[in-house]
Amino acid sequence: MKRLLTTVLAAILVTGVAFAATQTVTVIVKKASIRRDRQFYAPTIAEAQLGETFKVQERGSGWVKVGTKSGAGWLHETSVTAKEVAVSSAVPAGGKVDDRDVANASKGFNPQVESAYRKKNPTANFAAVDRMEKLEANDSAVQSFVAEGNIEQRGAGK
Amino acid sequence: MSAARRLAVLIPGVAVAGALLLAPGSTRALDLFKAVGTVVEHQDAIIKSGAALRKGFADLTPQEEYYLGRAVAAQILGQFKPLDDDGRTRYLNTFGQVLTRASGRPETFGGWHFILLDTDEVNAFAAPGGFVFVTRGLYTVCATEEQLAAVLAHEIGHVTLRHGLGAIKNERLTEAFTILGTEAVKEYSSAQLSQLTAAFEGSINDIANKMIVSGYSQGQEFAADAEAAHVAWRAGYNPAGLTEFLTALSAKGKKGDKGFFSTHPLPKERLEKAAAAIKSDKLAGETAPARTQRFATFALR
Repeated sequence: MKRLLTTVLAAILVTGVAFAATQTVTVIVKKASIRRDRQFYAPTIAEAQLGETFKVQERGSGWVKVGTKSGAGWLHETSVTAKEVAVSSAVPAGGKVDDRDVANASKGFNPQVESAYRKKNPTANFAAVDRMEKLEANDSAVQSFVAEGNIEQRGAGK
Repeated sequence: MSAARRLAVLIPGVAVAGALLLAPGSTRALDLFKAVGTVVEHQDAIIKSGAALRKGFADLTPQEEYYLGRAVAAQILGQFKPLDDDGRTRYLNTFGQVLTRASGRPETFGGWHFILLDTDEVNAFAAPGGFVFVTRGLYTVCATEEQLAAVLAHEIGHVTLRHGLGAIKNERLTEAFTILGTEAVKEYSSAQLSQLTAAFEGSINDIANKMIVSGYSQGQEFAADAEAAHVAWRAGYNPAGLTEFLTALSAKGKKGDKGFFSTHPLPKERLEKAAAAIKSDKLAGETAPARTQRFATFALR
């Protein structure tokens, strides 16, 4: 009986290790920064795109460690999912919903639904939204803002 | 008629978000300072298709939240003009990015974006996915960068807590999820598209009605305030900016006034709750002169 129990426990352990070793995550935002350290003020070493999949090397403190051509880095766990994903193409920042977007769309409220909504709601100002989406602040701008404001950050998101 | 009220009348479904606010004077008060938000567990949204797997707003994917947010933002920008001021817009947007990095949703599907609206109304809005709007009227109420941090963090809180998405009636989502329960498609049929668009439009209406007509619950406003204090603190700001701002807001209206004061907790009530949360959570902070000086260069009077 004891031997059987040991065997079962060993099997569970091996299975668990194998699962951890092969676990992957998929990016579920248009683009996600892969940072050198697991905090949001760390430099970005690469950008991951919607739908990209990575093998998980390590997890912890709300971050997932993945490999890139520029070395290992950290993705925030809210930017990825471990589940199987069917993602739609996104409207590019400042871009329009076009036929290609529609053709690429798959499920849910997506460019095709937005396009139909726009036709029914001509006063909705999507052009201004596109301009708004072009507003970006890169790491350098954020760091300058922090330094100039003498801001001592106490941590990233919980 | 205030622009926000026009928005409510003309578009019975603008998913505007969050508000600490009020409008100038006693009759224009209108809070939209609530956000149509989202939360950390968004990554748990069921992304695989299947009506049986998706039941409520918590199951909306980040991408679906983004498209709802775009439509809400488009409605807002159909009524309000962005402030034509590149310097202050850059300042606000960079400021917002600093704060979101200390929030529960540092990276939304389409990223966070912050702009100023060119209106005297004192208000702010946050559409799902991270489209945040601050009116010129509200911006002028802020006396320090710490206070503006509190305003932005409150809006961020509504988004991360998914208060706006929570206003969507379940039957709309059930309908949409049922359509989506069919197998994957490259493009919807016209009948499917029509049903989905109706659900999409209805969802936007639900959120707008909640935000503009009935308002978020007191609990949601208090929760967004508490979240604002934490986000501001983590980002390196003095959370006292929240209580300072609410104090300034208290002087702008009274119970019985239309708009904001009719649909939201009085700033005084929020002030007491916020002060208690800051104290109990030990969120002490300092206000650096460098920030106050910087804000002075971007202030609008």
